[in-house]
Amino acid sequence: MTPKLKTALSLLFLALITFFKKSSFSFNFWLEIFVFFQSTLLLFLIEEKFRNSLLRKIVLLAPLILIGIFVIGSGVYKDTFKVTNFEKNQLWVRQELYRRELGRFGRSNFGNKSIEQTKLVLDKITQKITEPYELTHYFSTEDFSFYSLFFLPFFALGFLFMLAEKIKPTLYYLGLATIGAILVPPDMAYWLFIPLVNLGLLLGVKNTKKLFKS
Amino acid sequence: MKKFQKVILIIIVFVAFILRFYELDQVPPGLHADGASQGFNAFSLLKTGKDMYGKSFPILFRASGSYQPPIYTYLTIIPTVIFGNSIFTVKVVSVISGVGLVLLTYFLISKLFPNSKKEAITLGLITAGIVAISPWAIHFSRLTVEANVGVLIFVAGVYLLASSLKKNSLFPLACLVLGLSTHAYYSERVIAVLLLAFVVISYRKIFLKTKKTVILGLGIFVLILLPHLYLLTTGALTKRLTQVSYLGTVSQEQVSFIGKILEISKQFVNHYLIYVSPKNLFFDPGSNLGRIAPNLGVYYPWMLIPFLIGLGYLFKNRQNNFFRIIGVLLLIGPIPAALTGDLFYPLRTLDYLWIIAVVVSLGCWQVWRKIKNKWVELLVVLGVVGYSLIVFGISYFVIVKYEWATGSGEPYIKLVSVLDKYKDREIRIDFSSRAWGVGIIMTYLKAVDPRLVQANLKSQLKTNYYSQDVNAQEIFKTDNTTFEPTDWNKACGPNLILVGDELSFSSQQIIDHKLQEEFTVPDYLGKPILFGYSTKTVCK
Repeated sequence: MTPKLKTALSLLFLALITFFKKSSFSFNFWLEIFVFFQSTLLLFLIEEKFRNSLLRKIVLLAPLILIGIFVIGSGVYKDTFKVTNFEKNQLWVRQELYRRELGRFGRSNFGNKSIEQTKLVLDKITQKITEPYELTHYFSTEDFSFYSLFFLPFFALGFLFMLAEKIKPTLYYLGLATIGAILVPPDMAYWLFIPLVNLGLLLGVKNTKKLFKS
Repeated sequence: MKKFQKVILIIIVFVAFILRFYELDQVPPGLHADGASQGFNAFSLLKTGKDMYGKSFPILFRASGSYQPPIYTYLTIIPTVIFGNSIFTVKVVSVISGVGLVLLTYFLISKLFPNSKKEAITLGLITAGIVAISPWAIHFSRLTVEANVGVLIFVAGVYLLASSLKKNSLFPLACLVLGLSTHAYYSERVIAVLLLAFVVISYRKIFLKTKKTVILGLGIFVLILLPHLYLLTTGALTKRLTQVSYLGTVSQEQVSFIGKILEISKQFVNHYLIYVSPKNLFFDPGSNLGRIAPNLGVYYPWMLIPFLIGLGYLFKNRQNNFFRIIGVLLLIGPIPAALTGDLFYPLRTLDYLWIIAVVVSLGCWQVWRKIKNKWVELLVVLGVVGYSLIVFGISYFVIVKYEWATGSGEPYIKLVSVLDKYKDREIRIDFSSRAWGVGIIMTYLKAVDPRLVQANLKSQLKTNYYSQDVNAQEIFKTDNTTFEPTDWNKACGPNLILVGDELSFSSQQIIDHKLQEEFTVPDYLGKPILFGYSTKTVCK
């Protein structure tokens, strides 16, 4: 099989895999395009032959640009940085606890309003980046997951290959997706991680034979 | 090992010691009924040679409507001799196991890691450091949990088993220790058997060279497991599993055999995935059951990055014996917990969490190798450790007290000293689901004569000591105190004091029974949480 044909088949796989999503997920054309683009760029990013080339630089920048477009399209989710009255109330309770407990150490800065407010926003950010890391959102027997459990072994295998052989681009993309998860509305964050899942599936399918041989 | 490395190891063990012993009797607040049962059984064995039901040296302790593995209770006899009955006493075995695990982790990694000696020592120190500061390792060391002893014994077994691949004569000892681990906690009953089976089958070529040693080892293992087989016939061995597992529910819901198998498989896989999900391992799992402290999961979020790097390194080197055993442990670790119905319950996966620490350390070590400047190394270590400890300290040593104090039985512990003033009165403490285990907690802390407790509990035994049917609603009695649901027909007489929370007494009952407040017990925020009332009602 020629390298060109291999690449073409890989792209075909990345384009078609989205059709295997569970029926409970509605087909959104622009999201599908986004996922396909991101998956393709990620594939090029981890391919050896593109290293140290102009294309690689473009590939490195492209996910950032695409996340930007994604955010502009949906608008930055402002609630992440906004403190509601309910949260202000929670904040007061927490301040009071710190004041009582740490007052004896003279560490009143723990109860400082601006520090606490910052911590609250950080907690909300943590919450937002936490959700996409729930594995059962992507694979499980339940309807709320993207893919059937059947695909999990391929993903696990592919992802392990990515971690073993292409750790830098994998972490680079995970970092970008995590930043993106902070900026987009909560239910959109999963779509930023789906390209990584798709690529894991692709590599899993590719390497299954290799693993059994070894 | 160089002098400098020895100093680092001493610092790591010292930090582990401080994090586990600081305010041990206060944080986390209260005492769980299971811990109190273990403490009282140890006390009872010390004084009478029998447990609280009058059973001589049991192989499984009946308590709180279930059974407890025996090793923790027997070990608790030692601190009971030294410190008497206290919250500190029942935690001592767990906390020493926690510090021991840090030290054992260092020895295991530094001896078994296949790279150069220098690299093995560095990785050993990193892994010991990771275990020392990991939220799960600190938290469970500070609780009265058998699982913490279980993980220590199991890791010792893994160490010996992996070493036996080079030195076959260690195999019987490895089997002995792994067998013992099955008497320390429930999870080990599954993973110790699976691990041993994997190692013996995978490395049969190595072991076939010394057949006698292998037969001896397996014989020892089976011999140690024999008590489990006896308990299996009584139903006591699987009592806890039937309480926490979905297996029973599935059997009732599904009629056909195939339907049952499919449903059990589905439940198992879904629960297994919960335990391998990065969200639950490195971020806040979202439920109090899975949390270590408010907003804190079992690992710090930053550890996800070294975990992924470590996982890649592990996979790359999977042909090596050491990494293969680590990989298998990573796969089988969540199995016991995946058989239970809870969404994420870290207590049942301590062996697995320890393996995760090893993988995280592999990743940290990979990053460490890339840093060439010593000052940068120092800055990274101080930054990461400092950040982790500040996050942990604020959540664990500050907020936990306030958020968990009321639900943890803390007010009932304060009640012990309050009731000392009422020794000449008859006390009835309202026993409800809100005050579950209060009877055994107060019985333990008051160091009630075990013979009295044995006589009382023995009279309430409706089934054999080892049975599938265990009563969780036993009524505890001490000299002047009874723990039972309030019977308002008997709530009379000038000598009586009724104790309960705000739901135990309605305003109408207070009027009807002419109740008069004797005392209140506040929670951490000063709000009255327990009330003691005397009554003016005359007995008919």
